[in-house]
Amino acid sequence: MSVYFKSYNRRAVLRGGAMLGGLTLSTALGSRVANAAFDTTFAPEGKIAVGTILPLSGGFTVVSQPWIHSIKYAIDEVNAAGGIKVGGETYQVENVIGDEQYSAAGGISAFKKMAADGVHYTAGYVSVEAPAAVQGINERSNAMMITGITGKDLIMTNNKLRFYEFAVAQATAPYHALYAFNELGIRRAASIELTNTWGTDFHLAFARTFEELGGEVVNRSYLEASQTDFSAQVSKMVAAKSEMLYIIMGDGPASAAALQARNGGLADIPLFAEGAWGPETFQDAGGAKNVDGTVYQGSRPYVFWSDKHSELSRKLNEDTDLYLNNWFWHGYDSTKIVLWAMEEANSLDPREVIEAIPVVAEKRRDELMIRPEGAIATANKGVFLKIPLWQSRFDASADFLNESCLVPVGGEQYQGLPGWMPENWAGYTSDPKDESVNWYPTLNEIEAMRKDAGETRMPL
Amino acid sequence: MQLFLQQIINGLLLGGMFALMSIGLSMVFGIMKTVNFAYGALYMVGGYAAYWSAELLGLSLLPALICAFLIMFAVGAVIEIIGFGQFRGNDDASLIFGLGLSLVLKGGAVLAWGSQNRFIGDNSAPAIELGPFIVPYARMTAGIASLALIGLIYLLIARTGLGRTFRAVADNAERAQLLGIDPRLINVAVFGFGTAIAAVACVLLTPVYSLSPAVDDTALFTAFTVVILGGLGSIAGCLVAGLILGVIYTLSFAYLISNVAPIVPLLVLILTLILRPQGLFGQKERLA
Repeated sequence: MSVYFKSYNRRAVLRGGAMLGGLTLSTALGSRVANAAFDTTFAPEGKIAVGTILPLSGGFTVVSQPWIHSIKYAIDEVNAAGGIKVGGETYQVENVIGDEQYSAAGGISAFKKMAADGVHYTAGYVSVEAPAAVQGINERSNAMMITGITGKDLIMTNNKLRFYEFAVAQATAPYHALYAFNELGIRRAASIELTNTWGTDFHLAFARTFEELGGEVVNRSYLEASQTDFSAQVSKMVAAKSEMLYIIMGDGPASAAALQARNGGLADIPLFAEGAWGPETFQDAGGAKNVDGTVYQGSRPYVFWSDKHSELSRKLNEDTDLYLNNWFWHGYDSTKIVLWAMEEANSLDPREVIEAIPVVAEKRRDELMIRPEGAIATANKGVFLKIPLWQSRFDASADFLNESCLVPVGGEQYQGLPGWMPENWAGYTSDPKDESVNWYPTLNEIEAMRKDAGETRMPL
Repeated sequence: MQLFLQQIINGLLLGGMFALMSIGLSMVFGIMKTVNFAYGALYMVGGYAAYWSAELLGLSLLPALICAFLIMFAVGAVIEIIGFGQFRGNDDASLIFGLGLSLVLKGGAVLAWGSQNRFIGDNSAPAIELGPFIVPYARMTAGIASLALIGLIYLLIARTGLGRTFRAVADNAERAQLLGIDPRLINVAVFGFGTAIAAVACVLLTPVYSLSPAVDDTALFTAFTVVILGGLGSIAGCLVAGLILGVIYTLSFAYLISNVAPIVPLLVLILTLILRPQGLFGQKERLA
């Protein structure tokens, strides 16, 4: 026997054979497991999965809790109504929740896990950072992104699988300027904005119209999401003799900014607000005094109350101890629209479903609390819902469980104002870095565009 | 010039509030040499102790503050007995215990009380006009309380028998034991007192910042920066560092672009660690 074979006896050969067989079996099984993880069907295990990506801890849970629950309630209602019927099959919908952590890293981590688990619809995204990070990969993963946080550098980038479900700053902020100048007689405005594309858009869209009307922005300040002290900025606003303060930030920092402005020399000037402002901001006596009367633009269900509100309000309050707020309405109707669009498209493929959204927004408008006026389908930037808003003021004394905390104000032009930019706006087809585009048109310029686009609803 | 002086006033008031936030941490470190990473969370829980005392018992601010002081003294004492006290001499274990406790308290606070901003009673107080300058009432109150509290703690430690006992344990626990002092008892008292002081700070600052589970991050970061800048364990250093940091912070936000401003206090912290690691009022420790 050769020296090379002398150590191999029959037992060793059998053992080797067994190992080889085991290896072959495990490779085959592993391949099946891997295939399961990257299942290309859109309803793994016979269920449609909708992922919610929102902060589950930290200061922003006060915003995300109603939102998370609104998506769940919408799904529960669809399931209770028999599920989604596509291609002769009926599917139940399940809700998967991931932690956005109010950060790019958190958002992308939650998204990747969902994509690996076969989730093709993700909703939520309260920060700018998380959706900005995810939208580089959602198209590649064939996953729809249902989002409502405005900002041109965020929502005007190419993303065919984006369903934008809320108003855009360019369309709405000019109405604040009009209301401040014409109705309140304000000529000197101060603003404090979150330092990102969301904050920039609201400020510039407001400032362009305010200045065209003859007003002056006498102070433009910035804040960070984690900032707690605003005395330096408030003193500059006082020194500039500001007649109003536009707070472009919601939740904790906004509440603190309002409080410190009120106690720091700006006790009586009107406050205007964007972002997460709701009953949670002023449910304590101290908070109420700070933000009572703040001017805010609410969507239809945030302003008008119905029996459905009472039902949802009680449910949410029992589940979270919170109240219906603006963010609840981000999730509730948009989830239904997407699920109904699956039936409309007779498909579960997000690429086909997104094309059916404008049809659903019109066809089933009366079943939706937000009463959209249709949707705009762009070539490369996804679909934008046309949401009307109401210029309103917060009533801190409202019974949040049983009535709206917003009271509509101003004339007819502020009621149901268009929260979308007209379809012929160059923004829908241009790169957000393209400086030749008028990214912040004045209200007059927007009106001219609407006329050219043949929009029947003329706000002015 | 008037605006600049107003910003200096803002900075000094803010500095007083920073010092107030930091006294508890400085005292616990100075006497017990314990680095308490749960300080911010305990500060936040102290605020809620006052909030719920006010809500459930219908108390006004001052009685609620006293309630919070007593509750948090007990909480601090228990944490020292079952937590930090068990790990004394093992810095790594103490550090990890503090971080873990902080996460549990913060997560628990969100689950139990929600993350909405709260206020204790009516927080609306008019600003006081001193000539051309505006001094917010709540900040002035916090600044004065800060000075008073620092003064009281200084007197307690430097001028009373109890303070001498504290200092004896801080100086050499074994030798203090030979004199009949029980260092464990002193540690429990000091940790309880430091935690109660943190609660008082949180209550006094609620009219300025409001209360939510998120306030712990600010408190922890601010307290550590102030304590490192002032010198670990130095009560006077706490006040001076608080004032310096308050002015730097305010001027940064007043005159620098917003992305840069939050970095400046961090730069101060880094420079302190590089150039004077013992802080402004700290003493260099001999290695051998």
